[in-house]
Amino acid sequence: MKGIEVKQITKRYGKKVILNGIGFELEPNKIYGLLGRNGAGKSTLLNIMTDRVSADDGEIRLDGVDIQDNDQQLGNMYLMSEVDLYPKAAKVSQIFKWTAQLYNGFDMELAMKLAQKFDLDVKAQFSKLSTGYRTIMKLIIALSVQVEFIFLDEPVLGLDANHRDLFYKELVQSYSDNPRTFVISTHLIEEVAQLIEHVLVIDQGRLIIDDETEDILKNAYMISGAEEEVDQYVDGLNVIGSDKLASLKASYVFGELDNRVIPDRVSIDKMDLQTLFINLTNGGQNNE
Amino acid sequence: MSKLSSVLKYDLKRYLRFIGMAYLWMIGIVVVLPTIVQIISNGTNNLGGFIQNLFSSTLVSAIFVNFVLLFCLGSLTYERFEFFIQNGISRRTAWASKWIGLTLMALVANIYNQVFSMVTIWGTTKFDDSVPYLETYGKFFGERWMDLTMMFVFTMIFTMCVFVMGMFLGSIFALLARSTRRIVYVAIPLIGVIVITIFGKLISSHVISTEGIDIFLKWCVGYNSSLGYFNPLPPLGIMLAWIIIGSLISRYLNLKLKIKRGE
Repeated sequence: MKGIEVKQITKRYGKKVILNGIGFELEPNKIYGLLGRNGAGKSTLLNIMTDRVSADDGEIRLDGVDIQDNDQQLGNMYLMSEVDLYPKAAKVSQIFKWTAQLYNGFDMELAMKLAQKFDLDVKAQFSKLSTGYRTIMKLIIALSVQVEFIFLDEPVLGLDANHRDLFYKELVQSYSDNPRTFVISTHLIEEVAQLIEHVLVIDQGRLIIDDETEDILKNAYMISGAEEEVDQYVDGLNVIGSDKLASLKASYVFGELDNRVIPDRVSIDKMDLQTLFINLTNGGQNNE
Repeated sequence: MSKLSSVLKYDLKRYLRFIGMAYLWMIGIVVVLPTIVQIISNGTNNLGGFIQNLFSSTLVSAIFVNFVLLFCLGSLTYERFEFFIQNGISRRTAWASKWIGLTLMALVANIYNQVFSMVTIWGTTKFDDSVPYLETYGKFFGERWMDLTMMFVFTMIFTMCVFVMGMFLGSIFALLARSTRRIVYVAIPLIGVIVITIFGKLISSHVISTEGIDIFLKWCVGYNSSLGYFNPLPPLGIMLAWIIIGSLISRYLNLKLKIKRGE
């Protein structure tokens, strides 16, 4: 198949199982959101997908070929992550040149243009950059490198609101100019909700959601109103969480609603992605 | 351009930069510094001859610098792995590029040293005494051109042994966690001292005989009492075996490299 196949990936650190038989596929030219709580295993999964660490079980295939120690396949993906793997003493411009040399495809003009837009000094040493500017440098590389799969692990870490806004605009522009696959792993779900076409949610080492954003949100509802009536209405439905304030209650339902009659004092609204994510991954806790 | 040639180009540029810097430091320490001291203490009298002498002594320093540099460049493993894996380069290619790059550097350094030795010492009576290899193994073939060829092969193989040792140790340390590395840095010298002390006591109290060790070491360096001169072939064989074994182990360990958590 075209794209990436993640097959039954399992990873343990000591006795702790970080990823437990994760499997999914990434199609070409699509923006994915990889969501999960802290420690869910998102970064570990991205590290395995780019051969930075090896899995205990399972395999990753790109266009049907195992990626492990394969230059061709590894050269077709780029992981921008929180950790800094570039030489500390190198200048930003040098890092751009090396990336161009090693990836055999890098839009230097775009990189320089973005550096100017983000006000990144390309003559500065990488180690002298602030956390935000290190992130910016890696984001510029991610947008300029000519690969089919780009993984962004916490892409806006340390960025102020203006830079975050600029990054999202440039990401959309880059995607429309040159469609390729982006996988965005972030905790700022609200900010990326409009961008992502497909959602992957990892919880406690397992993949609990792997679906199109539209299809997921189509079946995510917030039922609110008087507590007694809300409870009556949601009885038998897949309630994934609830909030309560005095005698008012909001129950979150994930799944199809049958054609039951809606009581007068009950309203039904669509749930947003962040609310859905919180309720799916809070281990069934209710804020009542 | 293939990935290997891209990585090799990157490596060679970096190695040349390191070597250039090391040579500048060497000239500064061996030539410039003594010259300044000479000018301060004795003025400019006979300065030309003084500087010429200093430059001729840089040959030995250069050989030493080459060995140290090749060992250090061979041992740099983890940071290099981080950079290459960030740039989509496999462990296999990164290892192969390092091995080829360092072999090329060793080859260039040895060609330079061979030519430099021959040009500067050729025709003088001190030839055999001035070159350590010829002093030890220079009589084996009895033919000057064969001894000189063997000198080149021998020093090349020896230089390769040095960087393979660097690659071997570098890949072991690259797999260890930072805390484990610190323990090893302290433990190895301590264990070394303890082992040497125990051996010394066992030998001095005649519990173990040094005869076997003595024979083995003599064989390793190619000493033959019946010939009366040293044979370069046994050490050459041992070094070749080390290059093969050391390279295979370092390659195997390189394939096990992974990004460490929290480092």
